Amino acid sequence: MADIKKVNQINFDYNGKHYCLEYTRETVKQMEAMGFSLNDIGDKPATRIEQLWAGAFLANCRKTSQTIVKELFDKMNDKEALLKTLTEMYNNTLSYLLPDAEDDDEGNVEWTATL
Amino acid sequence: MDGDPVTGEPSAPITYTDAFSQLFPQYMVMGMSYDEYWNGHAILTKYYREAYDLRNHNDEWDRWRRGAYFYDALLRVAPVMRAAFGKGKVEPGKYPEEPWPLTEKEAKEREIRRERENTERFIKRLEAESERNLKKLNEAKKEARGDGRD
Repeated sequence: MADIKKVNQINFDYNGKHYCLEYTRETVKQMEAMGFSLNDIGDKPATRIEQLWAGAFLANCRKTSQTIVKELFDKMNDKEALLKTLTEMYNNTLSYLLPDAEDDDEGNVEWTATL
Repeated sequence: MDGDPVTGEPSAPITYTDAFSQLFPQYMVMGMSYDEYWNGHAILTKYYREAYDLRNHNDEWDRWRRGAYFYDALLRVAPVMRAAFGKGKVEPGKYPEEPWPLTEKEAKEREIRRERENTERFIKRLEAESERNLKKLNEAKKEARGDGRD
């Protein structure tokens, strides 16, 4: 179990390894190039949330095997909250580019990972 | 209506990648590197934008101050120029001893400092005055005794 919160990141330890999940503009670009679109999340929530989860590993934990990625996903207990957090983190790559997103803390995602 | 004006087909939605690419030059102008923009923390852009605004704000103040100094210099020289065509000698005004305060905080600090200096000057004057009065009093006492002794 880990309880680490940091702006726009999900941090946790699992089996002695530290995981820092986040999105950068480069990884979002890569995800879109692979066919991911946040707009489709309503149509295919199950698939998209897994893709969203896997995409969060690209920035700092690229070498994590798909098996571990899936295993970690399965261990996350509150999928609804996880989806909300991941979506916000993903959206922040764009919202931080726009002046309207300033002067509030809405974009600062906090997440407690419970494995 | 959104879409192609000729065919009427709905246009493709703008992707995040499109938006990132479109906005990237703006952030390059603000001094952000390729790596920071694409691979750095997403929030960095917010700080770059804030720093850019702050820099502009400071530059604007700098321009304002230059203009103000020039304006001030003109005003101080103006009487001399007038005197050149009139009678008598006119001294130009004194140039400011220090730059004008940039912030309200600085102005307030300066005001407090000035008040403190005024108070210190006043106290010194008061001390000098009382010393003089004491001296006068002693002399008067000596004269009254008529013996010239202390």
